[in-house]
Amino acid sequence: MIKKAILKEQKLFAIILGLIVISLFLAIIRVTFLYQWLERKVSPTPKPTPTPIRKVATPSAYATDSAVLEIEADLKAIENDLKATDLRETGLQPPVLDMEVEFEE
Amino acid sequence: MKRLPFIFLISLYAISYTLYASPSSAQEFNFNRAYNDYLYSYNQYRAAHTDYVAAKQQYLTYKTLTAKTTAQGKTLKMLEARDKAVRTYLTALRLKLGGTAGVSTDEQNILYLKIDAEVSWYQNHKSTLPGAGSIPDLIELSDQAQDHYKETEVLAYQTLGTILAGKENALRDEIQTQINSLEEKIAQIRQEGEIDTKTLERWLLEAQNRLTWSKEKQFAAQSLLAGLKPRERNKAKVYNRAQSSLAESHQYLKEANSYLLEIIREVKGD
Repeated sequence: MIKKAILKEQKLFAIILGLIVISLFLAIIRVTFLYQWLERKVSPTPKPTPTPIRKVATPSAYATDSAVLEIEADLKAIENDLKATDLRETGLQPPVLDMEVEFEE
Repeated sequence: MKRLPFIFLISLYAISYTLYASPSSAQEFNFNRAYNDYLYSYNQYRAAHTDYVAAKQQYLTYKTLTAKTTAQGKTLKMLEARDKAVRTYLTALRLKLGGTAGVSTDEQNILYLKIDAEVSWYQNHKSTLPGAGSIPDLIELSDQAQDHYKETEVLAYQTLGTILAGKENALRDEIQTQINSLEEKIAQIRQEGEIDTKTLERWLLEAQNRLTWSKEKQFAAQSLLAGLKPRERNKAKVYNRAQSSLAESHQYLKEANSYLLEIIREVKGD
């Protein structure tokens, strides 16, 4: 009787242990799949979107006026000159010279 | 017939001479050449100065007659090189002044006279150096140059200030021309009634104001340099202050020009 009871207990223990192992295995698989699924959700597949249309301002009657275009060209040239102007002229500052000539110790 | 080869050779020589000895190949004396001359002379001075320091040290250590003679020779070479460096520097500065637009002829002529007088001074000084019979004589001649160099520095900084102010003048004149052209165009637009020109006129006034402020900053810089004295210990500091004022003047010019470009964009409807 006692032997039977022990055998039954052992069987029960083995079943419980088996269930734990199986549930752990399932849990691991579930977590792995969950991650993969989440990753898929985070990086959505690129979808083609329509190119934004730039709002084009209506040009005035003076947009092609030769005098206006000439002034614009001149101003752009001045802009370049303003940027290129050297206001330091470091190379033309007076030379550094030793003017103290003496022969004393 | 016998002379044909001779004539051929002469013609060939004449053609090659015309090709290779054309005026374009002749080296004209411009700022770049003068500046390179100055750099070369300055490097020669530095080398001569190193030799002088070494020879002086040797003489002061050993006090021998040989060391004394060497020291005298090296001092003479250094002083000659120093005079030449200043002379070539002034020549480069003169040519830079001549090539800068925006400097008035009167200003240019006054500075030319002063620079030429300085160049002559250093040339004469250099020619007196070989006549020095001893080290004390050389020291005396060096002291003369030391005193004179204070005046040279003042002239150099004032000339540099004039060059920079000239650049600003030229740019300001160009911007003023564009303001005048835009004024005419805006008046025409106003008459045609296509665009409301009130804002454009206000912006034009803003640009004009920037030109006035730029001129004021430039005058401030020039008066700083005009007040520079030979006894001033830190002349470079005064020059740097003047330069800062000129930088502010330049900034106003940039702003004026960008306002004018904005007016153009508005007129075009960009």
